[in-house]
Amino acid sequence: MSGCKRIGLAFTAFILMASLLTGCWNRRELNAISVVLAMGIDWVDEQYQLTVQVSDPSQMSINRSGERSPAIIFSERAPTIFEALRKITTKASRRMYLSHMRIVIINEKIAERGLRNPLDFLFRDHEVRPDFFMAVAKGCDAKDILAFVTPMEVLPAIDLYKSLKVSESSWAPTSAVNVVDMMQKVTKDGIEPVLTGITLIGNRNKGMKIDNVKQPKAYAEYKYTGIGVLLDDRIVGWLGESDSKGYSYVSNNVRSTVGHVRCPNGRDNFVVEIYKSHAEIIPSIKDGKPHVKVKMKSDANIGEYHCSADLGDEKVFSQMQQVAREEQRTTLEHSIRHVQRKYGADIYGFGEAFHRKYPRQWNKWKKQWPEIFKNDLQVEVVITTELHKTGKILNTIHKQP
Amino acid sequence: MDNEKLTIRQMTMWFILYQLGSAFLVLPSNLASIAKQDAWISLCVVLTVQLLMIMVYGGIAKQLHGVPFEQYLQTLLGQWLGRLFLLLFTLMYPFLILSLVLRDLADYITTLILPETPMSAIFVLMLGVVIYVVYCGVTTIGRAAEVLFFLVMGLLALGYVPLIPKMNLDNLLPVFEFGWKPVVHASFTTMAFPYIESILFLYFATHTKKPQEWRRLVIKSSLFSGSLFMCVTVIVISVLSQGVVSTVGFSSYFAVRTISFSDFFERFEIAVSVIWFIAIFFRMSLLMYVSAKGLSTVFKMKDYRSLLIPIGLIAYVIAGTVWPNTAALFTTFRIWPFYAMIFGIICPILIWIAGQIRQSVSN
Repeated sequence: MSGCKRIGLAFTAFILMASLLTGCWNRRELNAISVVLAMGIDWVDEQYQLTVQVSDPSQMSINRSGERSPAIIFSERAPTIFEALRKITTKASRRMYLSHMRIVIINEKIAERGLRNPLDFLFRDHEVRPDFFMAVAKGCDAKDILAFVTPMEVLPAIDLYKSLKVSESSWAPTSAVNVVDMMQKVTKDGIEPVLTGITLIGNRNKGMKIDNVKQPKAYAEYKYTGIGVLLDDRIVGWLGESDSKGYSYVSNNVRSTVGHVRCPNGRDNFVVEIYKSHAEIIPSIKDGKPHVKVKMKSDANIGEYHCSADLGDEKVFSQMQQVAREEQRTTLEHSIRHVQRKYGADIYGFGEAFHRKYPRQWNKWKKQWPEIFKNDLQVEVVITTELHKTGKILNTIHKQP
Repeated sequence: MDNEKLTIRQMTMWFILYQLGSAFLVLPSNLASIAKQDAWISLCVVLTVQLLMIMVYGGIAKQLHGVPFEQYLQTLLGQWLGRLFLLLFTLMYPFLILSLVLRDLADYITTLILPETPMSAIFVLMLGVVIYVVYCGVTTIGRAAEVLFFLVMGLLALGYVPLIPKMNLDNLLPVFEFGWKPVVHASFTTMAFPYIESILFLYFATHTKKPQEWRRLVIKSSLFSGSLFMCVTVIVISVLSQGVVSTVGFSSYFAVRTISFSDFFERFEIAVSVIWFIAIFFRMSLLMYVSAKGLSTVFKMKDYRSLLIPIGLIAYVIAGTVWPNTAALFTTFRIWPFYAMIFGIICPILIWIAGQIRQSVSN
């Protein structure tokens, strides 16, 4: 009996241990996958053209040869994104692995047709993490942006990604749009999404060659341009630098930025460097019509000064503060009015603010909100910016009188 | 029977893990798809109802007078009727839930983590462990719960505390946009699973010295898991907004995926899967134990242990075939609350009334 039992136990243990040695069903060996860092989606011949940028693992080591490009581009066309992605395996020796994707660039033509369908795959597939950024290629193909050689980083995708993050935190007109932001704004009522624009400048054909980075001045460069306004999931237009800045202020996207202001004498400029900014949207209903008060407070320093008035004088300083406020007010008002009149897309989320404060009234307005936003909504901007410091010097260098 | 001791602390932890079980991952989406941003209010409704139901369960526990619940039914309803009732109850409630939970686990794993792994592999692994631990007895499970409880809490903290700075409380406004109706409607799902399943905790009522102690520990575990659900729901909805939460299937997992601090502190969503695995393990071991206990009483067997493997095999088959596709799953979950209420609310009330009548007659 005990002999039988021992043999039985030994056998069970053997089977159990053997089952541990099998590994996983779904394993992906590192040498069988390609890590996709960036994806581009274009619309060519009534089909999606999917471009992926993957890193060449052999080029990631310290002693890499300069002969081969560290990033590889694959591109394939199909009626759907997933098909195109799988079709890429006909050109590549490894399977594309999407978990580490940093940025997705979408062609303007697709953004005009609507983003819901091309993005469905990225929301649905289990490999894709919801932490990538999105940008719209303006005036060029997404493929070109992925294919060109960037100067700072070895991998173009990382360069694009880092540049977007840096620019967002220190230059107000750029706003980085994460995929979760996009999902939130598409599903919410009373707020419309925006997307960052990206374009290529310079000689594109030369920019695709490794020669692009062989001299200090690159032949081609990418550039994040202002933001694109979306109505539902379609892009309807672009904002210029100043209007984009206004948007960033209202949506509390500004971590730090600089902007010039005309001196009170009307001739020269000075620069305010904003290091803290907070805007609040206060909705109210006046005579049955929506009214919004945008209250913005920011703290700033003087970063550059071309005016002649003496900054040491408190009166002059508060005059500077006053013109800075005026400048910001004009920026915000212009941005809001421009978007209202031209696009009727509530990218600032005023409707959302009404939704929160007046849910009943909002449910009556909800259907016609784009029209109400365009025609009836009154916006009042109140700025309480404060200037604090002047940097290492007080006034510009000049001869002492 | 040997090996049947459980301390109050072990029981509380086991029940908390049981309640966290399958609800934890799907709960915010379920609630938000009906109650929108008011999902957390639904949870308050659920907990209120749960406390009322615990009064009923506590009443039954008091009537037991040291007789195990499964035998009490026979003293209450008579030999044959009691056994028939217990048979139907066991097969239609704990045993069915066991199979559904098993399938749920496999669905999650094959949707989000290992899409190419056949479900049967997951079934076999999980069932193997559960059968083994139930075979070892409740003391073993209680001790395991005592150990793993803190791991689960630690992982929950790891997964959800980093989300707190990203919370935007505006996403919870406006409160009561559509009134009470959706709030109450949404609460049905959570009430049905896991809360009114607390009737199964009655099988453990004789493990405490006094029925009051049992009632106190069930209240404690319900409030504990309820407040955890509340935190997770509030965090997930305020981070993602209700629109995203109701679109994404497993939103608690999705929310953790969005964490990224300085490109460094990120990508630990698998911690959430570990929580879910552990919680489901305790959930299934309780269900397995209760089903085996119930059936062995029906068939007058000395030891419930010999039933474990047959139950496991049947659960394996049911789990594999219970719903053919995701759409069927969603349809099932629309009906499930009403089905579960038969066993979780109506049955205990009837049993309690019958018990009261019996007591007054015998007096």
